[in-house]
Amino acid sequence: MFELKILLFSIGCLTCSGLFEDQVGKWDWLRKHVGPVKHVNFGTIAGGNIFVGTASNVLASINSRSGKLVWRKILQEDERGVIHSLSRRGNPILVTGSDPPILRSFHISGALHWETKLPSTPPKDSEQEHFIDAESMTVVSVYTSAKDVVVSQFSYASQETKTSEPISAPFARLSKCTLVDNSIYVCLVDQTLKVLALSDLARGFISSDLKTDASALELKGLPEGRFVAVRSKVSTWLYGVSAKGAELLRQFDDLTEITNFKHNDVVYQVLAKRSESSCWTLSVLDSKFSEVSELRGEICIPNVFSGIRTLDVMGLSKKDAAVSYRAVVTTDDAGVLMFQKEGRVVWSREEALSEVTNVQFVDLPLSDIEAHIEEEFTEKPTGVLSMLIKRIYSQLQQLATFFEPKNPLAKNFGLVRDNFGFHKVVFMATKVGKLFLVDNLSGDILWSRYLPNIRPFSNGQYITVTQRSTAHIPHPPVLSIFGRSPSGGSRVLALNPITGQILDDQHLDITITQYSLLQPNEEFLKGVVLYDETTRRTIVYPAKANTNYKHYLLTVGKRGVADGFLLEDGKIDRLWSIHLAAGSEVEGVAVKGQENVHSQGRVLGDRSVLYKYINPNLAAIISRSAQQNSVFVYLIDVVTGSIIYQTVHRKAKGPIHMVHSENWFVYSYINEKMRRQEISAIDLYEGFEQPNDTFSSFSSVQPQVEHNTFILPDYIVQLKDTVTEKGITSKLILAANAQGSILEIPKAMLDPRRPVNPTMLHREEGLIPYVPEILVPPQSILNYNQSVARVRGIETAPSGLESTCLVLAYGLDLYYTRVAPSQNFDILKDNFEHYFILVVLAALVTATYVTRALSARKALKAAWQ
Amino acid sequence: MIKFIAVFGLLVSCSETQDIRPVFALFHSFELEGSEPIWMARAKVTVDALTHNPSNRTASKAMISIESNQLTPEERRKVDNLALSGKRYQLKAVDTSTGHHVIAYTYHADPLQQTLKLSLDPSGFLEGVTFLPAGREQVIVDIMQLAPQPETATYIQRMDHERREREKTQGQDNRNFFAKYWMYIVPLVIFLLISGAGNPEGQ
Repeated sequence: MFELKILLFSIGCLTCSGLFEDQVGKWDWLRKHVGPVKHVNFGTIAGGNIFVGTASNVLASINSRSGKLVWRKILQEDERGVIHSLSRRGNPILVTGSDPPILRSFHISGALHWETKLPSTPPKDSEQEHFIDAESMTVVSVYTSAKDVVVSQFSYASQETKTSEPISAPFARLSKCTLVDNSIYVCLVDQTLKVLALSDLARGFISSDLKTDASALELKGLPEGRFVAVRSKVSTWLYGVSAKGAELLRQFDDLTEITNFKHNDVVYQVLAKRSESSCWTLSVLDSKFSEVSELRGEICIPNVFSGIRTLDVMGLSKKDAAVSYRAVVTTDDAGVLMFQKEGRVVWSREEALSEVTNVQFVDLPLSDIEAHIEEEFTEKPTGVLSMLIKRIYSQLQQLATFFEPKNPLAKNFGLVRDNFGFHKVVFMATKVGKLFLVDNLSGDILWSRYLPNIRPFSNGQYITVTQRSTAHIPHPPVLSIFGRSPSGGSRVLALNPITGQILDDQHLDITITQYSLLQPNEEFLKGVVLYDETTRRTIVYPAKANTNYKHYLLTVGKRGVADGFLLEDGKIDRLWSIHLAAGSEVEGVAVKGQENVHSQGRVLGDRSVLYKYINPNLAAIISRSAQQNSVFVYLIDVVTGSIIYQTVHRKAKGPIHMVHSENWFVYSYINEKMRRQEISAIDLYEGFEQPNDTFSSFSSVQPQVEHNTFILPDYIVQLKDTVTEKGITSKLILAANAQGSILEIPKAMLDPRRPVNPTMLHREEGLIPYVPEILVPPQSILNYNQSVARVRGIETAPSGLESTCLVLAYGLDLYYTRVAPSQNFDILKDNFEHYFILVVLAALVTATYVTRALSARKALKAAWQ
Repeated sequence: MIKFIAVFGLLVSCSETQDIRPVFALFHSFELEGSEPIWMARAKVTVDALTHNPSNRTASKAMISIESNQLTPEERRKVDNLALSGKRYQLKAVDTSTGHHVIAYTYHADPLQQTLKLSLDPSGFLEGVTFLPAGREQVIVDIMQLAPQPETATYIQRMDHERREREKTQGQDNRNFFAKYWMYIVPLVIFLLISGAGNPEGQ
């Protein structure tokens, strides 16, 4: 019973985080996103909510007046959730997946009406396209194979499917085809339009010659009516199609886009022409193809977004029954905007933030006055008198600003460091090539920049490096981002993260796979060594950086060969080579980040010290063999290539997530035999002898290894540890689960030394007795009820206070908060009663004076008697 | 060239019984030709038997035999010169069953005296070789161990044991509800009575 009490007490003590109701949203924020928009549905009524289907497999309802997210349905992330088609009007009806395709209809409130599998079985090796008609509730599925086309029509009302015989169409696979009005299937083959009427499938394709010699033609089916547009570089031809074939209606020149909308059973054609670099003029033609002058409009993309990618127009009636329209525009950088006819932006959404790949916390610069004081120390001494004058001047300035009335706007513009280091900015790079700087306290975007010629490397990430921090005034901070160049090789962009100003933009002709930071030069700029694993080439960026270096490098091939290299002043030398377990493939490599380790050892129950094995050159490699159904874990010293520890989990599989820090390594995997998530912890100790001051891989002893495994009744999608300024605060392991919660697990719970049979010594040391299951109480969910959808990464950064760590989880959503792993020991609680303590103090002081006067009087009286 | 055979019984651990007898050929290099090392045969290590005891990992043993080539005085001198000139001594181990090779290096003054650790995967294939400070054995074989599983059974045993202990020491409390909790009930009743008597005509 005593032990149980200890256990409960210790669990309670370690995880007494949680949040009071009034603290919700005080220092955390959640930004929900939907992903790059692929399909738009204009909903049931004009001015109501619109629905979008996105490339991130999300169906969402967006308020058409404010752009706010009303609801969203997050479908499966894999092939099954891909949205192939979305109805254009009415309730959102969509087709997802392809094997088999599933048809779902949602109520406008987001409730699922019904869902059904599309009953037709696709022919082998066929590509499929689905077209939904919301009014008649029918779905036309077109399966194109190398030789022919199969058309299948499903009606929800009768639950019947009509599937055609294969129709010979050897061109369909290679050419651009589309279905218009859910009744006419049109293909563009060279200079011929081939038309197939679904009402008369037996007749087959009817060809009509375009009578043009323009090449590189494109076909676009217009959303309403039986119209298709054929576009060349200069001209656009509008064709009307029917069962009889195609008929040329109009020819337009210099159009950038053509679309149409239907209003009161009239189909209006919308022609877009580029007027300025970021503006399109829209002109609207009525059913007789004469322009409606009052519907002429111009839309201009705000300069935070890049060029227009798609344009969807919805007709609506104004109060005086006149026709008007609204346009939904998506941009190349995954933005989505709603325009009014007059060209006003009703709302815009930055959906690039749903595809964040890299996150880096950046310290804010010092304020001007503080910078001035800093300068005094960095400058060379010029004489006592001038330094004294400078000192007095800056202190006078400080005094002046203290009494200056505070400008309320300065809070937004003054990007300067605060006392506790809680205010930072977050640099984010996204998959679409847009960079953002986000304020960590408010979540506001400070600047964004779209880069059309830089993309993530094949591992889905960029490399971001802080080459110079904000601490080196007057030199500007430099943050470099390395990415793949679409034209081959790599591209580097050096920028000032605070202002977004580009300092350097270069093309590098190697494909970077690894990098390492060099020592700073006299301008405090750290160079970067870049390494290409395939060609074994290395370069230094920037070229003028310090080129004297000696770096050890680990490369791990997919086939399980790990090599160690020495990079020395541009030369590459292979030092060692090891071969991971036969038939295994590497799942991941974890190295330690830059961090401070405060305590070199652990004090045991008998007051002896167990020293930690803190090897900065240690890398953890996990590989997996599907054949043997095993997961192999290695701890390898990168300098010597020695395998410090190796172990195997039988009947285990990925996904594997790992955290490597200080003297420990924690990783998670799935136990296939027991069908559960397990999390394993390895601690390394040197022993009871005090190690030498500096660690050397060549002379270090073999560490003692403590290893234990725990059950975590959850499904982990991401693991990360907290970091603090000096490394004194105990660590938390942050585990994001599939439901979008971020769990806090104290490292003490994942201690492999937790004893099964605790003795007095263990209790003295404060070890928690071993329990196979790690229970995470609900108050240890960092993001309480603010679920973060599809967490792809968690980034942590120390704040200026030792107790607190800043956390940003990113995925489809962004969630920022701060966490105090060992409680707020260096900061007052935010409900601390400042006024109360003032009143008490004042009362005490008055009481002292009053009683002094009283006692003096009493003493006087006593003296007279 | 003198050959000798040494047989060691070594403490290793292993997760599976082995039928194969892994043979590793060791080559070393203390000279470079251009940038490529010149490999020369140093020894052959045969793992004769891997006995394995799953219940007690540390009791597993491997019997190995080493066949090593003696160095000529000229080669010996070159090896000794390596450390003086700051160059590294390299060792290549080839797993004869798979043909895979692994490489290790050392800057130690007397590389030939250092203990070698051969790391093997659970099937007995060579993964890596490491130089360790000179010890009693020339070669140590480290076979990948099974990682610890969650100790559910031990934990349940412990809980059962604790429960039994508790029952033994305390005995069953067979008193009825009132007998056990009268000290809480009586003050509550008195309190209710007093507060009820305090305002009899409250309404």
